[in-house]
Amino acid sequence: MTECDNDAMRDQLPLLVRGLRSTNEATQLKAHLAECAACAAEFNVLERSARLFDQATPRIDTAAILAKLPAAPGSRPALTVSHGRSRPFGLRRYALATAASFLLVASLSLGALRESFFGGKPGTDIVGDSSTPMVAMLPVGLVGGNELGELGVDDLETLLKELDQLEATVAAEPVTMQRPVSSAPEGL
Amino acid sequence: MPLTAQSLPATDTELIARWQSGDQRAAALLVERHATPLARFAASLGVHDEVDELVQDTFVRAFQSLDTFRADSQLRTWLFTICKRLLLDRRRAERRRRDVAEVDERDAATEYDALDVMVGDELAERLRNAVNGLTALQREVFSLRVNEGMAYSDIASLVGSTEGACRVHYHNALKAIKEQVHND
Repeated sequence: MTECDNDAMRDQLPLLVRGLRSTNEATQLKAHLAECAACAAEFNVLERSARLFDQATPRIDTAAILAKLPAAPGSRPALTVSHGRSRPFGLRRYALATAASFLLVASLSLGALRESFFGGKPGTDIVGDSSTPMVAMLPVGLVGGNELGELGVDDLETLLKELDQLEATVAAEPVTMQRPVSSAPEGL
Repeated sequence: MPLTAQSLPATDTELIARWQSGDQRAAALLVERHATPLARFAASLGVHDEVDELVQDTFVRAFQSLDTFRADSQLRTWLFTICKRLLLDRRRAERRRRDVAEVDERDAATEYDALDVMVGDELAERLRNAVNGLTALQREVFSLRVNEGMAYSDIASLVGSTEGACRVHYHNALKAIKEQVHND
């Protein structure tokens, strides 16, 4: 069988096989095929070849491909330093912990000093009763810088209130610390 | 511009831009659009069992370097190029493992049996034998033209030849197939 001389038509036959022609172009090509036996035979071979290639092509699992693809650039989380350290709350937590530790150590140290230096001397007796916390049991002379005998009742009461506030602060610090530390997701 | 089956709501270039600005669904559309042609191309190159894996690796490699893709070429041609390089790398690695001499990408004609599928009739059997009997280059050019309707210029860049040479390869392949199908 001789080949068709219409190269323009022949050249488009593979495109017609895969439906890659517009409606008008496809109509023209089919009209040519209806009157050209050589092109019709060639088109038949091309169609069968395409079918053969299709049969040899396995189905592709596109979901598996998508699962392996990198994330879209714009959707990637920005690179940041650890959240816990960058947040102001984290810094405040550290500051509170340091302050609480300092107060506890200071109160314990002062209590120990009091026991060492003024344990049995008269006039340096404990301010407050036996239930008073250690901070409140400091010798008055160490706290205020005045001799006990020079302080009036009002002065003593003011001093006691200040010591109570200090005690309350010390007692309260661990409580305020525990919540953020235990709830911190970073495990700080 | 002719209306073709490729005329989908968004072009490849638009989908790439959408993906690059964070739209992961654009990747799904690109994969849906090009996975089967890629698989068909891989099968036409003689790949058997690992078509799925090869196509997957091609997409992963492509998306990792999508910013290097130039929009003046077809995405599908670029994907095919990546697929072919990956395949050649694999074949070279396999040959090295077997201590065989350097691979020539055109020497696979004798190994080609990717079209050894069940055929329904004698004509189809003859057609399969005819395609299997083509040289690797003829078969690749023929497959790209028939399966993808690819322009000769794109085929030329993909196979590393000239447009004129690819046109000749296509017509020689078609002639050989027609002769075998009609004369056996």
